[in-house]
Amino acid sequence: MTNVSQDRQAMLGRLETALSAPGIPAKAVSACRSLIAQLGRPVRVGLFGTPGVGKAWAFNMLAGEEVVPDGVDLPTLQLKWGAERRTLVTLEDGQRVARAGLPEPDLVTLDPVFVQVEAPIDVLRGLSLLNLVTEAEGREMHSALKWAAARSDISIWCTRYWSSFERSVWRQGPETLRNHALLAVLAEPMRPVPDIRPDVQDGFERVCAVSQGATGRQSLREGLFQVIEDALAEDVDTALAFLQRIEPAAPGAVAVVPVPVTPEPPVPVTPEPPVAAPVPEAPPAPPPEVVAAPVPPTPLRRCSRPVREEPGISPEAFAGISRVFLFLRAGAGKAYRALPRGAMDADNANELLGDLETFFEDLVDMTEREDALCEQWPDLQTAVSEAQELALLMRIEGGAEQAAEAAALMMQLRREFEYALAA
Amino acid sequence: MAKQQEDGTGPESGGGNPLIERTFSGFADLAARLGKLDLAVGGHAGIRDRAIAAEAKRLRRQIREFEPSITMIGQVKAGKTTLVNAMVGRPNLLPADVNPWTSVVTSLHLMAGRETTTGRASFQFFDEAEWNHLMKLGGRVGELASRAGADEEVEKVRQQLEEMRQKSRKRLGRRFEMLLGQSHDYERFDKALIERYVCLGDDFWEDSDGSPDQGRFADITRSADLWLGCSDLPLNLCIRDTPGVNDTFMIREQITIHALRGSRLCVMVLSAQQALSTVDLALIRMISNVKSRDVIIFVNRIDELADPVAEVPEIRASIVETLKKADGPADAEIIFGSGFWANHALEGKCDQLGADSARSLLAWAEGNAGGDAPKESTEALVWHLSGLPALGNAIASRIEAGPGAKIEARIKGALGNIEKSALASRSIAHKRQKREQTDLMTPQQVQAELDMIEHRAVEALSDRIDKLRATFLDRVEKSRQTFLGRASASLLKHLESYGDGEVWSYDASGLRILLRSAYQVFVRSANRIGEEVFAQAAADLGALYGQAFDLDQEEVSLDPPAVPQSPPPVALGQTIALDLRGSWWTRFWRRARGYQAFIDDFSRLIYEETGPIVSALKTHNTDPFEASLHVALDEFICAQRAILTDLSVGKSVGAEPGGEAGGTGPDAFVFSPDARPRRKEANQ
Repeated sequence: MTNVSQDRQAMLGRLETALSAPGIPAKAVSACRSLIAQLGRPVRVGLFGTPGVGKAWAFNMLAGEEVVPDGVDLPTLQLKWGAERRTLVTLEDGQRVARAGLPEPDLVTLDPVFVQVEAPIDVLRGLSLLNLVTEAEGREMHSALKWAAARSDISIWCTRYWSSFERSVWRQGPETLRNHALLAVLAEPMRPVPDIRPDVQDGFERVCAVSQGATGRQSLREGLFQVIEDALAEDVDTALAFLQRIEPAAPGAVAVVPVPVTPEPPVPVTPEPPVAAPVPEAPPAPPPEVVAAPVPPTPLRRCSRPVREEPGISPEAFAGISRVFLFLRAGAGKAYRALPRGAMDADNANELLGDLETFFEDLVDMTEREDALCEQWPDLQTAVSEAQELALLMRIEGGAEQAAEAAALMMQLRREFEYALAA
Repeated sequence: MAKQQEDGTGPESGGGNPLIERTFSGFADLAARLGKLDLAVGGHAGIRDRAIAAEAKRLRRQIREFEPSITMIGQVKAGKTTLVNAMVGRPNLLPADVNPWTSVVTSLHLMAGRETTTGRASFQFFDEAEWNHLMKLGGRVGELASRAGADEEVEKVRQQLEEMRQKSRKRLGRRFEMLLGQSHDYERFDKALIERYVCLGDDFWEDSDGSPDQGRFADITRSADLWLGCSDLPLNLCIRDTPGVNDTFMIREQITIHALRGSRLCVMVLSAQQALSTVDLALIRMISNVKSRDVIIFVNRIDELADPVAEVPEIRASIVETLKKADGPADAEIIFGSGFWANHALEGKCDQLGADSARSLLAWAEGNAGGDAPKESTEALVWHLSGLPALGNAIASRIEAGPGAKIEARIKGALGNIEKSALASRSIAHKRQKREQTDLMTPQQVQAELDMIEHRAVEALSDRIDKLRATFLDRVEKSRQTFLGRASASLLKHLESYGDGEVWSYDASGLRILLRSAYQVFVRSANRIGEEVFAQAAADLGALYGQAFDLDQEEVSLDPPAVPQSPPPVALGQTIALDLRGSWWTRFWRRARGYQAFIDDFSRLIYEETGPIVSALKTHNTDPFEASLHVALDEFICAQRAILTDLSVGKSVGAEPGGEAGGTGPDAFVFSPDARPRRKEANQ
């Protein structure tokens, strides 16, 4: 699972190099800087929901410590990394008060409007947490969400029953909140968690059933890390597509085939018995200084990755997936080499879109011929055909942006294959 | 040339037209082969093995009822009807200058080898459901408008319709609605009769000051079927003339789609003067869902081009370009010609073309002075230049390769099975005569075995198709969502960059392509399932012959029936809101508040708009195709059940014409044709 963050590190390096390269166009410099900023910044996670659903509990679970004191009526609170434990309180008149340590219950007496907390908790090296506190009233929630949207990369909506009120608040909320979103369905310990399936249009990448006990913490964290990782993967893909367009075509540097940690296509062997992901005392491989940023909306519905729970994987399936993967990887390399350096004009873009459309069609044909693969990884098959459909729609739309998106699609698919292979 | 002379009618009684005969000469080979098959099948229709003879008769009927069809669609004023008249060799058959208001599909059934006479005619009126959909809901347009919440538009449509209805009432009387769902049939027809049903003029009625006949029933006529003898035609053929597309209420589009469903082969008629353009996108959508080898494009009215030799290549290039852009069948065959010239050739009036047309003809003749141009007469040459022979050839070769090949394969397979059954019957009769052991199974056992085979085959087919259908519907839904996602994102981006003042458009062809390929995948898999299930059933039945009658397996290895053809997904061609660029419905966006509200309304609208397409794909494509697979299986098993039953109860007579009834086996059975054979109680 660490390959995403390794990708990210490698990517940051390459972006820095690209920035210092001579002759880089001015426009590319600013794009490059913003990509570096995106990739370098800790990911900002926002927790939302109506009062009383257990947001504070979820917040503390994610922080790994009781930052928000139980039963205390604190306002919106932000938690981020800091060398010392320290609480910064903003009062109604704009005045700010600093205190050492985590928030104490008596903070309420100051009647604060906003609380910022810093703490040397490991998980905060990679992310910051925002607990948005509002009244359960439509208009107030709406403006609060708008405020929070500019301060969050990833949204977690905490709910009990996903009521129609919550649905309408969420749907009317800012679009960017839905770029990377997780629905956490909370339930009292030992009580069944209701089976809630939000609408596709609500844009939740995952739904986490969280029982408010010891196990809940793990599933909440895992869900969050998954979303973070997906968001990061997208950023890396975007950066890759960008780099490919500006990096000088140094013949040796065509280690471009952007597979930094790709396992070699495995030799068909009987795989080891699957191991359940270890329970994280500290999160297993917390994607540390991870970042999500307003990227183009996710083109692919991410595959869930049930692969781990899958018992034995047949050698045929492995052989099949390897064949398709090699084809995909070769195609991805070819497509990236074909990307023009510098800005793409409409003709270039449309030609590339046409090529990619054909490529995805071939990929679908090839995948469908591999029966064992399709049986073993139905999600992968779905992802392939979905990518093909998207590539077709992008080709019909035409344009440089669409071409870059279609190329990124290929990267994303490659990543899905890598996950399946590495499992 | 083999003509089917089924009821002894002589070849032709002087009515033959060499021009027409040449035009459809491409059918001769197929007709000859079918004639041979007819003869071979007929050889079994007279034998005394009842079930085998019945099966032979059924096949013979199929051969004789074979009527491939072509649907003609086209731009308004492309001269479609003139062309159709020329194709059947009767320049004045259908009224050509009909006001484009008509929404009647006219099917000309050309009966091969019959005397050249006009025959029956049948006119079908709209049924009540169709009429109500139009009148109460305002047809597709009303549907769209109310879905978009455009109340004013709904009201406008309603008013227009109310006017139409008043007119119909004036023409047809107060109780005209009682005519709905009926049909008017005639033993003979003439031009005036056709005009009564087909010619509709908006204000036509008023102009012709109350003459009660012309266009009288046209408001409510949906389709006309006319039967014509055609002695020059080696095969039956149906030519369907459609009303075209692009009308206010999109009725004609629905009607044309319906007509296209009925035949695989489609001729798109264009006018050389107004080659294909974005105005014709609705037309292109229609043909995009037919396989491109089943589309022929006929560019009519080249007689009106000043310099046809120079202009034709340009027109061709522009058509291909337009088709390519619109993801249409860019490799369809394109033929250039003139119905006008053709009709003059038919009437022997080539000297009356008019100066301009004659000049074009000469220029075209010089440019096409190829080796194969007939020299024997002016008429023959003009006919050749009119493009009609080329069109006839193109049609013939498509039919030969498509439905022709299909029916040949089907009949051949079934004929082979008949022969094997007959052979089995003879050898059983022979053994029985020699009192050899032959019946290894009792008739009851045979029945039980048959039931099991049938049950197994039907179950297998249903189960596998059910799963396939679920996958298909799931995929369709996903594609719909994927498309919706892209389109909404595009709209959002548009709104963010241009605001809501600019008209936004999004190409819906992507959705059609996605749905089409989902359907193609379904068809491919269903074909495979059909083949496998049919093959298994054939193997099981063949084995039963062997087990029941101690026959050599080789002797009775049955051919499975052919898998039926799937209907083309023409419903995908219907116009949806996204196709109506820049028209009234886009105004509706401006009324919505906030971009997110835009997007939500848009998603809802498009989701609902695509609903009918998806459901049509199911009701008009996958459902009938599934049903046709079941029918093919059922017919196959039924025929074999009848034959095996006869053999097992000793009804078989050795398949010799006039042979003696074979002796019944040691066990005596009571058999009544309407009940399963039943062992005599006494024997139990």
